[in-house]
Amino acid sequence: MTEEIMRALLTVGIALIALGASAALASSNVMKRLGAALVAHVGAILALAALAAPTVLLVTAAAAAMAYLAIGVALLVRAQEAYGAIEAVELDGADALRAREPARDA
Amino acid sequence: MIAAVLALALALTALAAAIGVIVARSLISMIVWLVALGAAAAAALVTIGRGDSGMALALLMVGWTPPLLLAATLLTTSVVRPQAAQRWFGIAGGASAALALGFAVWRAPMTDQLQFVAPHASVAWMAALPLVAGLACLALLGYGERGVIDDPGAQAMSRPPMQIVAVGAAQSFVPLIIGFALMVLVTRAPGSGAGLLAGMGFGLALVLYGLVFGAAAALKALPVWFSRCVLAAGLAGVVIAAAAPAMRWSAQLAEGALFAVTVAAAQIIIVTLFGRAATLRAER
Repeated sequence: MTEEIMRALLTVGIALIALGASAALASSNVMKRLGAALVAHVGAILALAALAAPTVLLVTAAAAAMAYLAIGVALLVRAQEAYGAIEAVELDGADALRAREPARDA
Repeated sequence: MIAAVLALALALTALAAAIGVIVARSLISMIVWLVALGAAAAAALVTIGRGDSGMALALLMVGWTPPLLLAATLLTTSVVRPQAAQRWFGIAGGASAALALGFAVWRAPMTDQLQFVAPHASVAWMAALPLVAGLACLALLGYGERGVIDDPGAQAMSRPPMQIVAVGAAQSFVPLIIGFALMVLVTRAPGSGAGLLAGMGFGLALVLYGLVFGAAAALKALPVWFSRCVLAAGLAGVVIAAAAPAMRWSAQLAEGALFAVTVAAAQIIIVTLFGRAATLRAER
């Protein structure tokens, strides 16, 4: 019975990974993407725990998630400073505008 | 048996919170759902006897995620623009992928067939993660050059109101948190990543100090030169421990070096991120 429950726990972990990954792909807001990636990280840690991975591996996964969070937040702030927005549509629009500007000058 | 059922219930709660994260439009709500997700997942880990892993997850999701994401929310925007089609695409894609993977997992071989290599000797290499994170934040944001650190006017503007309850709570809890972090460092077995757990715990004390007293005060409490020295010492310790794994105190040295690197990186992340907040808010 316990093995079935561990199997169910593994399923929940993989579901979290799938949910987080698909939301990170589909969201337009960059901070939402960061949150979705954290969901996927938590799912990975849960799945590893259900597979009886060693503790040091799980702690390493948490460290990776922390590093991902810190760098993601720093990039988010830089994107806001450079573009004035964190919506992917606006970032793409600003890039397209900048790409068109030199041609207009020429 | 009861513990396993409880762990499954907590994992399902985490799944429900994850759906809350994905559908939330307000970023503040998203952060609250993330905290709920982390707390439920950490409790599930503790319930199945993975205490250290649960503590690492709780430190990450309940301790570190809210202040960093709330600071980013303060610096950017607080609401996600509605995009119904993409949102439903995400939910449908996620649900179908989860169903397919769940079915595959239900029939997959379990732990008796899987072999994990316990990387006990590679704890020192774990230090690369906080090291890179801290240096990347420093490279991207700097020591608050455009923020509160070097601008006395912005410092005065950004200084939080000195509420006696917040100050008293910070003064009471910071030593307790530091004591907890040092206890984790000393009592946990070397080779299990205890240095990282203790460093993340110590970093929470720095977060609390920075939130209550401001980024400039946090930088004054742990100056730049001190953070750099601790980072360099930690890096040297990591290199020595990795180069000589057979040395008598190699495991302890690796954990201590991991702790030093994590604390220094945490201080850098807090100062660089919090140091931006006041000026950007004033620019709006």
